[in-house]
Amino acid sequence: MIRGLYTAASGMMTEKIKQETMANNMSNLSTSGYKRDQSVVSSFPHMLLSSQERSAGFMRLPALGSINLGALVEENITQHSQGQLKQTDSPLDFGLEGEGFFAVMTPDGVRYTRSGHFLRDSQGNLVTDQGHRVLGEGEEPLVIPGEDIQVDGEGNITSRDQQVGRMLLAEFENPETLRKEGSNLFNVTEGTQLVNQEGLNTTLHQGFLEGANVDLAQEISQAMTALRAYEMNQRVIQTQDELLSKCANEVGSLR
Amino acid sequence: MINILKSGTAGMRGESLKIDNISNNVSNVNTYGFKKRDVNFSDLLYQGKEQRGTPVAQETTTGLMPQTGRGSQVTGNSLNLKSGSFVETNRSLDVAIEGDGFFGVEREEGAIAYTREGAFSLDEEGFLVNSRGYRLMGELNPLPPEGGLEGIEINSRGEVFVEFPQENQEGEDNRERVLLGRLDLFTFDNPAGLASLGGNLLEATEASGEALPGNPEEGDLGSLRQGFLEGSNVNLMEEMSQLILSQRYFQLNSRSLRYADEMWAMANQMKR
Repeated sequence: MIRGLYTAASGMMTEKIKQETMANNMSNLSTSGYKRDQSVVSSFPHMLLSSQERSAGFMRLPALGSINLGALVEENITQHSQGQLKQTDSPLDFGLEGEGFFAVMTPDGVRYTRSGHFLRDSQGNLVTDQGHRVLGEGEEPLVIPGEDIQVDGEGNITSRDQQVGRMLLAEFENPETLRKEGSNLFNVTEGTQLVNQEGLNTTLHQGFLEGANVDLAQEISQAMTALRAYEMNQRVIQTQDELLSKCANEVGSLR
Repeated sequence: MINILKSGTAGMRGESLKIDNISNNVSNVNTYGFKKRDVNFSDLLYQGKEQRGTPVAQETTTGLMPQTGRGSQVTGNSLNLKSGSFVETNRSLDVAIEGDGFFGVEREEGAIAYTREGAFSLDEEGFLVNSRGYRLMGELNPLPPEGGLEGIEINSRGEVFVEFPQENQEGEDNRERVLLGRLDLFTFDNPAGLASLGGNLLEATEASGEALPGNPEEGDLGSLRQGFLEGSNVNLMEEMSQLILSQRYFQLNSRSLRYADEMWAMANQMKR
């Protein structure tokens, strides 16, 4: 009985985490370059249940079958599928088609982003709307002139037919190992492997922004399911409570 | 639960700001020289879920602990400097800029404001002023009182000429053409960072950098077109579709708020 209580409670907590993840996805529907998270739930390790009986002086443990004691969040996976490219006509908006990322310099080091809404600051640096400098080839921050910026699909920046730099695009063998840091930034982790610069398969579109890859209908239907699953687990706890109450107050009562 | 509430609130706040911005853009769909603003979003912090007592896996295939986000934030609303369409007015004091420059006008306290609206008129001393009555920047002499509005010519290089009739001894109509001066145009390192003052005026900020003065047809400042005005760069279709989306996104976030509320109620009702 006590086991069952915690099984249901773990279900409630898991559904709550799922709901949190989806609330965050929905909150970022307008965030350019946002990649949705998906909670993956699995069950606790199975265990074998056996009954204890004593016959003729020694223990026998006949197996009753397996049981598992609840659910847990296995992973929160970021889905790196392509978001919709929306035309903005601003010369410093860039959308990526493919699996690449822009590289930016933050006070904590190099970070990667899919949000290509850039600005030119008063020193001529190309910066993100958070003020982080966008990196070019050789991880050098990009400085661009103020007029006539043209960027081709590979990231070559030209101004008045003069090449002024090249945007650094990064692709990863295993983008699922990237970690979100907020402010549209991703950080690499131990297992992350960069793809060679020659093997890039990303096209850059000037004057476009990539929308979030969150699907409204999917998100809301999953949120409803999670809500009802939460409710069901709550009912299970109530039932368990009633059973315990029967045990304590009716079976054990001395009239 | 509090996290779901916060994500939902953050989303609602962001979307309502976006709707505010859209309504301002739409109400200026007929304002000459108006530049619309775009709202930009980013996600907020992420928090790991590996606290004690939370059912999360201790080892994962990617080696990353599950983390959940805390909603979204508005990172700014920058000017969209896309050029508006030109409207022919045939008025001699209407000027449109074909390029990236801004007109400068001098406000009351000597402060300078910038505008793309080129509907000018003359004040009582003969100086060119904008619709608010602020004098236009440039090396300009006032128009002599005998000159009429019809005789004013502003060429693509920003030079202002005035022609006024002068009868010579033979009684022939011999028009005289006088150069009054030249208009200034201004550009900025980051024009998207200009602040709006209202009245179609913009102000330089730390983000935009100092104004860089110049004359028309220099660099990317652009050339002038007399008899035209630049329309607003707001595209009604685009704004409307954005409005529909933002409204639905707002509803969706209010839905996640309600879900959190309901879940909380369920947790509270466990022990009746």
